[in-house]
Amino acid sequence: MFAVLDRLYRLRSSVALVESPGKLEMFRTNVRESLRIKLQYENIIGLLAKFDGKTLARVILGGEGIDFVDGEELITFLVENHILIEVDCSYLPEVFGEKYRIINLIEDYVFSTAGVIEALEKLSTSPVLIVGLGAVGTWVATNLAQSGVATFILVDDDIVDISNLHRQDGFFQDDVGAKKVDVIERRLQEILKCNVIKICDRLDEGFFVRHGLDFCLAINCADYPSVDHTTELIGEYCMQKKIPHLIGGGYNLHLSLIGQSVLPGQSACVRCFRRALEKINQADLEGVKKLNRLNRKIGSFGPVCAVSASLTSSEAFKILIGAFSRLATLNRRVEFRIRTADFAFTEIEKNDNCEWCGSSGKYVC
Amino acid sequence: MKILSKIIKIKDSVDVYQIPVDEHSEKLQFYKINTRERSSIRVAKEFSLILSKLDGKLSLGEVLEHCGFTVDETELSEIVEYLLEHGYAISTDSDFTETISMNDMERYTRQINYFDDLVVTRPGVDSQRILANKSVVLIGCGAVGGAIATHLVRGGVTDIALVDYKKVRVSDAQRHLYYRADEVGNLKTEALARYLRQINSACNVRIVNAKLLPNSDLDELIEAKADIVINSADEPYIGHITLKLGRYLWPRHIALYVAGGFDAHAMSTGEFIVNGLTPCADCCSNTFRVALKDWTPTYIPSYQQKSDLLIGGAGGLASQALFSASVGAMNIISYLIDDKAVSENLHRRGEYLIDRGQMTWIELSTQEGCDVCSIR
Repeated sequence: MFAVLDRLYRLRSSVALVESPGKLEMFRTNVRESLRIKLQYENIIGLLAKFDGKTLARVILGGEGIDFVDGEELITFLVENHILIEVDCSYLPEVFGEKYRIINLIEDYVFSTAGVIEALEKLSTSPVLIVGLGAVGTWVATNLAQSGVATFILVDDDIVDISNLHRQDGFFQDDVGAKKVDVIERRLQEILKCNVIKICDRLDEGFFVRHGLDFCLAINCADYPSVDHTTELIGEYCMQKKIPHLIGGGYNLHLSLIGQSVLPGQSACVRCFRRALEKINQADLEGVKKLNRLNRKIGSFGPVCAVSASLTSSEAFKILIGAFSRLATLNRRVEFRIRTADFAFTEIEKNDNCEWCGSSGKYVC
Repeated sequence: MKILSKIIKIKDSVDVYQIPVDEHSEKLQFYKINTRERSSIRVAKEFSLILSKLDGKLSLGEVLEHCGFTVDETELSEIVEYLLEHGYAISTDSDFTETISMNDMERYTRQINYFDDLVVTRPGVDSQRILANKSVVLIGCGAVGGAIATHLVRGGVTDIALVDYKKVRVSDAQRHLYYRADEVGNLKTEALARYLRQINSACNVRIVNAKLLPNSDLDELIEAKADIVINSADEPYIGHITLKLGRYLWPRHIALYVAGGFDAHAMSTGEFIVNGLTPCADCCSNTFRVALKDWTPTYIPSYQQKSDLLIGGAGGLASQALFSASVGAMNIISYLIDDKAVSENLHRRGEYLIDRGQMTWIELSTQEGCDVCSIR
């Protein structure tokens, strides 16, 4: 009946506890989120400190003379909020030694140590498709490899150009002229042994038919011929197959954009975004013409591309470990303000009339 | 100079929209793609045609000849002045194209174009050259420091000193951009230097293998030519080293950037400490002390068996370190080419909330009666 009582729990080292009369603040420093509760209990911190991951909850509650029903309710609440974590297995010392930062962050997203091991397993076994190895895709690939992703499908048909070096990760002077997929594969292998499938091809209408790929997450970092076009192709294929996908930002003409996350059937799809944005832009552009000018070159800046990539990688990480409720770019178009280093949003709702994901859409779940 | 002999180019990074007003005039809206800044003016219709031909090759007189009409020269002057002042156009009769080599022009072309918008008072190529002549000292070659150095060298900094005492460990694979399995056991300064030289073999990297302590002699670490010192060393404690550096650099008018991204601040932006522009290091430290005076947290540490690693302790992903490093590098590069470009980020430190997609900020302010700030 009291399943909680016969389990082990650990108070997480990264939680800052601040006690005041009748109140307790619990601040999770890893994700910078605070939880405040009202509670009459003398030396609540002393009680929480007893959850050391080695003593059964029944023994701790009994020793303090706490009613088991109340105690169970409190423990459940603290586990749901990632203050306590259930210890149902221990980490192998060599794994923890190598990956303690990743593990400690995952503890903020799951409820038990077995959940952490499962998340690491998902990261290392889920194939991730990255289309486009430019100013965003290169950073995303490195970020994910360092965070435990071990199977990549990398798509790019280009070679390294000297003009890539100022803003793209992983390319050195000596790589100029080499295939981008080869250079990034070597880079990922130098970090950690991983499995890289290289596709030196361009994303077009026939791409998915030609290659028959199997993946758990797609990240669009390609802007040729336009990001709208590549997004449409990836979005549609992923909607058919019900695969989560991310639209990277930071590309030509949208240097400071952070793209959206899409969970098919649950969030606004790329078609919902397109329709909503067309509506917004139409109001702005009524009667407006763009002055026609020739021979334009568009600017770019590595650190801004990398800001965009870093947020895309963080979202990818959450999707891969199954922390869907914690996504920051679901149903949202985020823009990074370069002058102030701040973010602005446009909220885009899932559209019930959407021809892809609406109630009578083509790809309804 | 007569207006008609001027050669003007509307920047590649500016979109121009024509919005009809009435029969004779229209509104021209200028939009900087890179920085998303915009403004508009109302002009007579014939000026739109003139503007579409400003490609930096023809003089205004020649453009008018092409158009086949004349316009009021005073009005033309006013419009040109507006374009130049807001950074929508550049005057190409100034001699700027010879200031960097063709190789560098090729390597940095897209960034130069971005600099056109970032610093509107001069051509981007001049900003690129200014950046190439700056001298940087990096203290701490960890995940964030290493990534800042990478951004700076990729961006065109060619003189950098690296200070650290640690060796590359297997666990650095989690966040260090310059990590490679075959560098494990090597000094971090040397591994990072190799990485930076592979990006740009012309980069002058000075290595200092030392641990910065409260009694270290900073004259040995920081050369007088330094334009900025970046502190990303979080051991023994970032606050103490920052105060020491701050007090040393302030009277010497060398900027300090205190990097973010350490333990409990995995996605913080970091902050500037610059004499004449911001509060001093002591004031910044006191800002935090005052803000947190009623907040005394307790941590209950659990250690992983037979190690000093905290289980359930400070987490962090490569992407989080990259965020802090990238915002830092963006601020540092902007500051190095023009301190006004970062004016809005000078007085505050931000933290990105990973599950909300939002920033929170703390404003840094000068504390009353500070002895250090009074040194100008």
